[in-house]
Amino acid sequence: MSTRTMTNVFWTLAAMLLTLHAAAQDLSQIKLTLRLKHNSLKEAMQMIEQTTPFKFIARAEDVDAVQDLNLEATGQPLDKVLSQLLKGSNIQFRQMGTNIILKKEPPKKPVSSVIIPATYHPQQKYTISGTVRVQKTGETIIGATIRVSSAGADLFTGTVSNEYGFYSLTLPVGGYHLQVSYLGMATVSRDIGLDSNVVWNIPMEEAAKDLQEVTVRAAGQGRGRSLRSPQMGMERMTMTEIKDIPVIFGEKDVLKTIQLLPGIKSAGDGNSGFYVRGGAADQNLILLDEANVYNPSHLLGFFSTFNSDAIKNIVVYKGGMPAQYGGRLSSVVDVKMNEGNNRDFGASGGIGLISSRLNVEGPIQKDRSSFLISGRRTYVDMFLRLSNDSNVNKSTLYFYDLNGKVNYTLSRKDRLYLSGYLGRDVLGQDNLSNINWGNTTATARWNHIFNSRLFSNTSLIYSNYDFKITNKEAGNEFNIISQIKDWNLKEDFQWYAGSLHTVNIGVNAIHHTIRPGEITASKDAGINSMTFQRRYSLENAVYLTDTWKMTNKLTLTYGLRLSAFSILGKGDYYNIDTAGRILDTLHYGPGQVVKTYFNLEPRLAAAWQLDEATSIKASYVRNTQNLHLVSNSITSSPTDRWVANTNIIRPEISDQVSLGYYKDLAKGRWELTVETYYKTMQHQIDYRDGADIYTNQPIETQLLFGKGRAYGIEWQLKKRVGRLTGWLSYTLSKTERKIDGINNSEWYNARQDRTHDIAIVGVYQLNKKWTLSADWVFYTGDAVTFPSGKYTVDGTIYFLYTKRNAYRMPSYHRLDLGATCQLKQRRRFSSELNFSLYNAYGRQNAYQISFRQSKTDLNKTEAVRTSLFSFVPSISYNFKF
Amino acid sequence: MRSIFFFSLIILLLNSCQKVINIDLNSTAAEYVIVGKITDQPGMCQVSITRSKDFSDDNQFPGISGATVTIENNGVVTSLPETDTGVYGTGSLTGQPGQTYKLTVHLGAATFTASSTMPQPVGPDSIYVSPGRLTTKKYVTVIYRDPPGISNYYHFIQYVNGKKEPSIFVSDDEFTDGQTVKPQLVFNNDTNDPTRDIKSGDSVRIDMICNDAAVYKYWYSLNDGATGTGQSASPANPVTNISGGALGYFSAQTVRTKGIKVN
Repeated sequence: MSTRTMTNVFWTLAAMLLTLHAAAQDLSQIKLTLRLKHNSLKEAMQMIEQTTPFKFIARAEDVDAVQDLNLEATGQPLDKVLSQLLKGSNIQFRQMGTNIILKKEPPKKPVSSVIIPATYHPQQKYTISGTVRVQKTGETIIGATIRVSSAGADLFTGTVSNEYGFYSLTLPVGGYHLQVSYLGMATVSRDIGLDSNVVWNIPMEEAAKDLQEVTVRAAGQGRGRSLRSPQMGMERMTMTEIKDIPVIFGEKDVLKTIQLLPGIKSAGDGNSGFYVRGGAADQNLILLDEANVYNPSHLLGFFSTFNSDAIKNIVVYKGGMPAQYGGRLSSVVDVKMNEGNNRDFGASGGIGLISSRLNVEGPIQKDRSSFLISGRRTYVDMFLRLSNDSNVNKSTLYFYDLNGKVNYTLSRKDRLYLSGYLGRDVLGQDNLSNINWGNTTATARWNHIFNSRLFSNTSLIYSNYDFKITNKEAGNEFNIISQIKDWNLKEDFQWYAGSLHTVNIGVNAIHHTIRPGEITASKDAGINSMTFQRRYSLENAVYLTDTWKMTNKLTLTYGLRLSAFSILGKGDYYNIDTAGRILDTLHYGPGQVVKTYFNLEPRLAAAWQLDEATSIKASYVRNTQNLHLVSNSITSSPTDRWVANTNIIRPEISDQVSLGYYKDLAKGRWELTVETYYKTMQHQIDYRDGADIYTNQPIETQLLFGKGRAYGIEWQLKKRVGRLTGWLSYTLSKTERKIDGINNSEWYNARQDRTHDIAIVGVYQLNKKWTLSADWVFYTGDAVTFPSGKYTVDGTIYFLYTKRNAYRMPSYHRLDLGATCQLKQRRRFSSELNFSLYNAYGRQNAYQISFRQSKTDLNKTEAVRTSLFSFVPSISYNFKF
Repeated sequence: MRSIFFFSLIILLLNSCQKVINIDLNSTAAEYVIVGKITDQPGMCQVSITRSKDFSDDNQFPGISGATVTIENNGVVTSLPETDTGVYGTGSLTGQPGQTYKLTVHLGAATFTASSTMPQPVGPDSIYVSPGRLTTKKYVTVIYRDPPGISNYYHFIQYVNGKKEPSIFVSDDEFTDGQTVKPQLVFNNDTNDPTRDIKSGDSVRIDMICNDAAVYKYWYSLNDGATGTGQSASPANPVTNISGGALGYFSAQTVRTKGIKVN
């Protein structure tokens, strides 16, 4: 039996243990009765594990060497029992939390008076590296925490596995205890006597749900975040955490769930757009396996494009973005897809009220390569078929998502990943006219481990968003196409430069092609064939950051990103006056550089760990944004237009400083986070009054420019373990804009300015069968423009507006309930039923408020509130085998 | 029209719920509203002056008397006497396509001016009524030939049994220059007023108006930002061609009319 399998046996044993107050206990306080007759040490350990809260960690060969033990112990303390058992061997024991570590004493070397052997030098350092994986499926684990403690006990260090599961730790020669933890996984630990480089690929196994309490106590620390790391403003969520939170129509949705976090605000009912720390919805960088997703919503925003079956985890940065990310002002949402099981074939799926899902994965070559295919399709149009209105029941309305991924282990040091996504919304009538839109992404990545300290990743990424409008009515045939397409090459190096430094260096080049609109029409279509000028640009960046563990308490991350955005010909660019009139036109040939915008983006962060459970962090980050989505409607539309920088549209720039306080409470079962931020934004864009969005006129003639500022404080109290998990979050914030030509060029509230924002999320594991969940949200209504007066023109009443966004929508609040019932499990097959009730008390939240002449009294005008969802029950069935 | 399509889809899908609510809106200083038109049809040169009111006031907008209103063309100044309270007009001034007209209104200490150039007339070839998309409701389609090579701006006004439809139908020829264009005048009957819907037996009339660019901008922005529908993220007052701080517009426009009886 190899060491690894032995350890695994112990882990399985450990997983069967159920203890509640082990951490407080001491070996001498646990009394047990043990009778051994010619038993092996292994058998003795199993008996002890079954009757006490402790589990053993040892090398198999050490344990196997001890056979034929005899013992009669009645009600004796465990430490005495262990001493007796190990008396004859040279194995020592030591308690560490709920672990008992057995370690063979090295044979004592003869003391050679003065000469220290050349191989033993106190400053000599070696590296422990490897990949963290799920044992059962071979999936790599992103963000697993690896904690290191040494016998000396004053050294506590650690690291986190990177986005490919890789980790590297460089430590001085010595004995270390490594503990690896990850939410939903049983903690793995190992003692390593470090006298040469060690490769340890860490296998983790899913923890039984009721065991999580135990494992976290063994860790003695919260595991969801690192107090030591200077990274702040970050939220990491796994599908395990998201799984039970109730959502509308029972569609698990990562983008909806992150809107329950502090500082991330929903754009409202029926909108998967969100605002981070006062930014606009287009200021979020949304990545799927590194590929930019330009329109992350389906069905006009009711659902996100992320099919939860295919998703491994999601990380959101609200501030302090690492230097490898750039291109958006407010946030980074980094979504990573599953890789696929490389051990076994499996399928999972679900049947819901509005959609069905199927996910198939398995090995191509066992342990070396795997694939994953995941699909989802909605069938809203089935409901339309039920309509007796012939115009409605002949219409088409659906969306689908297809995710696929393949990965190959080329060698011990090389791994190749190919992943892709295709999603499409289709909306049409009777095959005559049709609008469809969607994203396509493809990512090829090659991981190479140069050595235990240098990890590299090369990515080639394709990203596309387009919409097509087709009309096939006889004599009126035309189609309209609009597209944004990227080719993106990235090279990233992670250099674990020593025990104190981790360096990240990279380059990135993206070529953007924007086709604003191309109309192809038949001769008599009533519309002319024409092509809006295509826009080409090249977005380059180089970056370098170093995370430096200055002292045991202070860690610093400092880095710089240099971005260069070049506008390329061919195309016409313009000079315009302040009223938006074109003064002259500048022609550029193919490939000619119109203008290059350079920006230096410093990224600084520091963490000061006050004690084992408390830290404070501060950061400053500058971000720039070179592509802008200008929208003037309250609903997101597939036809909203992405616009690149021009000679007139300059890069948006934000500067954010933030300060945070982090405390683990009740031995890490609760986490308290308080973060405060102040952010300024330059070169913000808004439409002129009366702007025409669908025009071939230079877009600059329709725009106004200005600046923004946002500040706030976010509190979150989170419980990650135990039967009851969830969080309570509260945000107090302000966000304003000042645009030349709007509101007399004075500061005004941005639409997304919401003073208060509260979310309470709770998931309760009632028993093995039932999990109950609930969330409640409350926020101040959006700042909106309501009329202050009215007048008549040609017999119709119109409304008079004074100040931009000077009114408020009514406060929004909503309670959602959910329940998951685990159905009877067969050998490999498990299934569950999921019930949810969205807006459980039927609050009529305002989707929009409109103003009109009263229906009942033509001599009056009235305000009308439109609400979308009240009491939306849903049921879905999910299975896995 | 695109947004109406999406909007009705949302309504259709979600069975959304509408309710009249009370909102406390601020009051604001009244502003003059000047609506001036000179057309290529005889007897249709008129300027009306009213004032805006607070939202909670009633919907009576009495005319403002006592203004001096003139229209100037090629140095010839024509006075428009007050024919009714707040209504100033003359039967003697018929506009000519290609001519520029300048409106001046003196009201107390204030002076408002605007100018507008009458475009060449374009009229409907024919009109017909047919069901709209995703609905059984009927709408009018207007067929007209857009003159190639020049910018044209159209405004359609629909009357059903003599009652004017309050929806604004405007279009330009940016994408349709020189084509035979067939726009369907689709609207959202947000008040559920059955008299707005077109039924068999109704008589329908379309006034097809040609505006200059500034007046088109006025109607476009009025439709986009000031009708109160709540879809716009930033409602705003329309872009007027009147200087001096008044609401409304002044248009030198051509009018062509077509009517049918719905089968």
